[in-house]
Amino acid sequence: MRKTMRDRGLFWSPAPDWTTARIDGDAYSVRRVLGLGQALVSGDLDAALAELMPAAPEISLWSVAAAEPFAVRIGRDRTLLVSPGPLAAAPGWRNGYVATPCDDAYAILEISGVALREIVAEGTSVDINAGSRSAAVLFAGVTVLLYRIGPETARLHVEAPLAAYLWAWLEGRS
Amino acid sequence: MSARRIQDSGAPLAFTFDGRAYEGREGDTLASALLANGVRVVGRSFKYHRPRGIHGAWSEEPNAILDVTVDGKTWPNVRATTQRLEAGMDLRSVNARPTAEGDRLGLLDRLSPFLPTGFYYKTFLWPDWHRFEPRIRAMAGLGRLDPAHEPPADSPAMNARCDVLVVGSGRSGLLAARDAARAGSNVILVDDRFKPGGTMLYREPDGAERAAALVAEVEQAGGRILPQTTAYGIYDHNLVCCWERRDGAPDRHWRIRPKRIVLATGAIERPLVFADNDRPGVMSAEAALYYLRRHGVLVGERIVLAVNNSRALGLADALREAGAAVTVADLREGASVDAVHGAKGVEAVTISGRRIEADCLLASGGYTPTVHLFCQAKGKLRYDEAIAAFVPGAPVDGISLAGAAAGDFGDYAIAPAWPNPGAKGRQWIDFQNDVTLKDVELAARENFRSVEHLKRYTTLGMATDQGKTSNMNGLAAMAAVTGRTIQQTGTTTYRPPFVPVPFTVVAGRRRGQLFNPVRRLALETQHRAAGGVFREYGGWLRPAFYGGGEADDEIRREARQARETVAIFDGSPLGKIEVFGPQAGAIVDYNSYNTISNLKPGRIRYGFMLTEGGVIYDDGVTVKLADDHYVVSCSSGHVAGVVARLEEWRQDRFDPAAVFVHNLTAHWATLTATGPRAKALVAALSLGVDLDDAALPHMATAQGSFEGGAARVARVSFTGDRSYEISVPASKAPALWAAMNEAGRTLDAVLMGSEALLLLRAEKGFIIAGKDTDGTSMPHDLGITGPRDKRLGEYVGKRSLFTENALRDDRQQFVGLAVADGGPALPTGAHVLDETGGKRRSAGYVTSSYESPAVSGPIALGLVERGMSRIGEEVSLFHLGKARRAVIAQPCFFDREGSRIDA
Repeated sequence: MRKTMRDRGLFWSPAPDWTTARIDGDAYSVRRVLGLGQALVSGDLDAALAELMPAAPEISLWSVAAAEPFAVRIGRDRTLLVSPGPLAAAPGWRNGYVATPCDDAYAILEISGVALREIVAEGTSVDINAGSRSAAVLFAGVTVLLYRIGPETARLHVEAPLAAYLWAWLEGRS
Repeated sequence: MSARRIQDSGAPLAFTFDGRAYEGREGDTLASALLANGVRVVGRSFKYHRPRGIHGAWSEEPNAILDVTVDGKTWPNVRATTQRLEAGMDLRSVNARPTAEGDRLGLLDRLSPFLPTGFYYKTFLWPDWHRFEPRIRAMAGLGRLDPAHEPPADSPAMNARCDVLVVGSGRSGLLAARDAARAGSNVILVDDRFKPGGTMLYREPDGAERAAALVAEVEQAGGRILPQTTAYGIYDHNLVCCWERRDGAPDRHWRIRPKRIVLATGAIERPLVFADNDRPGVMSAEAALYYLRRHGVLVGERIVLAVNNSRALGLADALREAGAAVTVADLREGASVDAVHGAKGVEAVTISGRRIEADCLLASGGYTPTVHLFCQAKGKLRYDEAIAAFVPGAPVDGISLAGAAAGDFGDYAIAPAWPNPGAKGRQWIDFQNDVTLKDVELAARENFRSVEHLKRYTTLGMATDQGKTSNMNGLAAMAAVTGRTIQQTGTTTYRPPFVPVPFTVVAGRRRGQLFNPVRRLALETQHRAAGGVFREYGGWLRPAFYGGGEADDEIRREARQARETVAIFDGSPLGKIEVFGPQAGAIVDYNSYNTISNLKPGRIRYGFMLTEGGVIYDDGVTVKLADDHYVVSCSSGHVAGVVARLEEWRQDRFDPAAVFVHNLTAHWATLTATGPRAKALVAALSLGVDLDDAALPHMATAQGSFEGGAARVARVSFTGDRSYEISVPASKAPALWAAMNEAGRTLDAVLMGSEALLLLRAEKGFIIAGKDTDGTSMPHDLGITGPRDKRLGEYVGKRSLFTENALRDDRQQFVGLAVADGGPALPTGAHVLDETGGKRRSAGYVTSSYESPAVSGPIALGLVERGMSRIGEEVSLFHLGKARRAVIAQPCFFDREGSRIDA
């Protein structure tokens, strides 16, 4: 029976080479941002931010982050710290909160261009103008964190194993 | 009917219809191009194959449905009135062989006395409907699908929000949009036609200029206009779905969530009902004006205009100015349409007993407000005698109507001219589904008196035009037949879509790779480079095996070598769900059939996770790193589910400030070394971990480092051999992969895919939850009873392990099955038979089956009734007509004493 096993690797296009991958679409471009630090924090967020990343602003849905570091809010008691490089924080419980480095858990895709709002309108039904404390939304059917780093530049944090899918989704737009 | 173009504009476009060459103009619809070329018969009717011509001018058109081939691709059932002509189009009539003009099945019309409505319900019952079905289905239907044409999945699904959504861009819609936009509202206006303006474009002097000015005003005020966009449905919370056609780009699907909706959808002209009112050349009067003013096409030379209302009456002057001889039959003044002469086109019309030579009969039976969206939103209608039409009744929250859709026809007078039951001749009500007045009468006689029953019995209003021209006449006919008022008779239920929407638009881009995306390994590129052949496992794309040989050979090669030397396996998808906090131990205990928290830090325990029904949900190991830090592993396909259940109990059962769950599966990549030389391979990696068995025994973990980052080493085995799972951040995975391959070179290591692993674990009798268990399997069915019998405290599924069903002694139990007939591996899924009392029934089945290199023969696992008490018993199996024999055995076929775990 297995002699007829099909190679499903032929069906699924190979994952991009993330070091060079780039989409240059009609009025937008996409690249993967590499090298940023990420840490998942749950619990007493005020305490966590005070200890780990003092003065880092909280970034919500579609809000604009000036520069790392900042904390992208996920839920009532959860945030993702984004830093210029890996955060030196050992995973573990610390008096009311827990922090775990997860630099490789989320791929960060950066979309730029005047078509950004149209792409977002295609990707999610969330009313970005209404805003939301949480940056977590369903985008193209998968959960992402969505915020901006400029008026026409947005970032999506998506679970890394789904980055190739989201890339194909962005690449195949017409 | 000798329709012709009287005003040329636009570049010529060559096209064909039913094999004949014609020339249209840029800007033509298919319908206007056919009319301009004098084509009378454009199709055949659905049931009787009567010749039919173009009746309307837009989405209400019942007759002109065509298959369109352009650029080698065929699009079936295109409504000729709403599709723009393109150069080189090949148009084919539907339901006609070989052509609409010369359809061979036209003789069916002569059999019509024997084919009344519902005849197939009565006629084809005996001896069996299915004997007739294939032929009837072959005859029925409209266009032909081209199997070679698979439309691309390229329709984006757009989301939008606005303060005001205006549907329809006639005068009322444009004014509503402009005023709302000027008042500061965020406005979207959608209109299904090619150009905004509605009836302004052909009914008003300088209408096109005025419409353009209004469009500019809307846009200047910040409104957005989407032309060629049909609002086809309203759903919960006034979500409006729209289908946008774009020139030179794929269609788009819009989901618009407005705060307020203005429906300015206009009205649709009704046909008059008289004998042979379906003949080619009998047209909507409104449509004739549209073709004249928008396309420069005059629909006839000698035209009879039969009307019962003032709005259509005004058309006569326009037609005369265009050069036609027009005879007006005003039904309000007692005129009647007695007969239409000409089988394939109007040749003459008898009006009030007088025969008039004519090539076209324009009929207007009044106008029906287009209230589909209002009714879809649960709006109720009220019959307005003044305009002889249903109009919107009590308002619906968030929805208002404007213009003709609200029943505002301006200066309008009408004398109702509803179908007259008992009238002679065949009087068509539903052109597209071939329903006549007699059919309505027959339905009423057979007690299908409700309009809903009438619809389903006669199919009135069920065609692709959804009865836009027929529903009103149909229910009026039923009202007349049953002696009820039109208000009492009511309408059928309005449901989306307003027009047929292509599946490609509804489905959007969710096809192929975007339909159900798999997760990708961090090392996918490396696996491809190593010759990996991939399959989907638990939502991940993983190498099934490596190499270019036959699958079975490669899999057995990998399995054999893994037992002999060492195999390298990518186990990254296995769940790595970290649980933190003072109550971490309590929640992992609650999550597991086995107690976990009594482990020492650095130790690992295997266990089940049960559903609340006591059934095995998943199995896996849990690592205790500290009293307040655990890592729950689970099968790759269950990660999201396990995270969800942990999160649910965290919030509902435990102190949510004292325990947190972080799913770090994606952060860590895990490579496994398994086999007798595994320790040597791991030692070569210099992870900074003491690999001595005393320091790192089986089911223990240690923290090391790799390339400056963290590395977790766990001694867990799914093969039964000494194994090490090494987890590093995913970005370090390529380096770890390279290092393990380098270290493995001198150890004769082998790359191992998922298939060989499945084989190796089956040799050991290790289960795959959901494969070797099913929706009934409980831990004691696998012989694991300790926690059930001894464990105190609560855990998920506990109570269900003590129900009467759980304690039955004839439950299916997990066992091995050894082939007893000398044959090859048993078929997975083969049933184990119980032949007690001479009757055969299934008493279990094979869940896993392989040819095992380690035992040099076939092995199998299965669930068998009372299996554990029947070890050694020979049983019969049955699969797809073939019988097999097997002996029930212990599920472990290899290294039963477990000595290889530390070898």
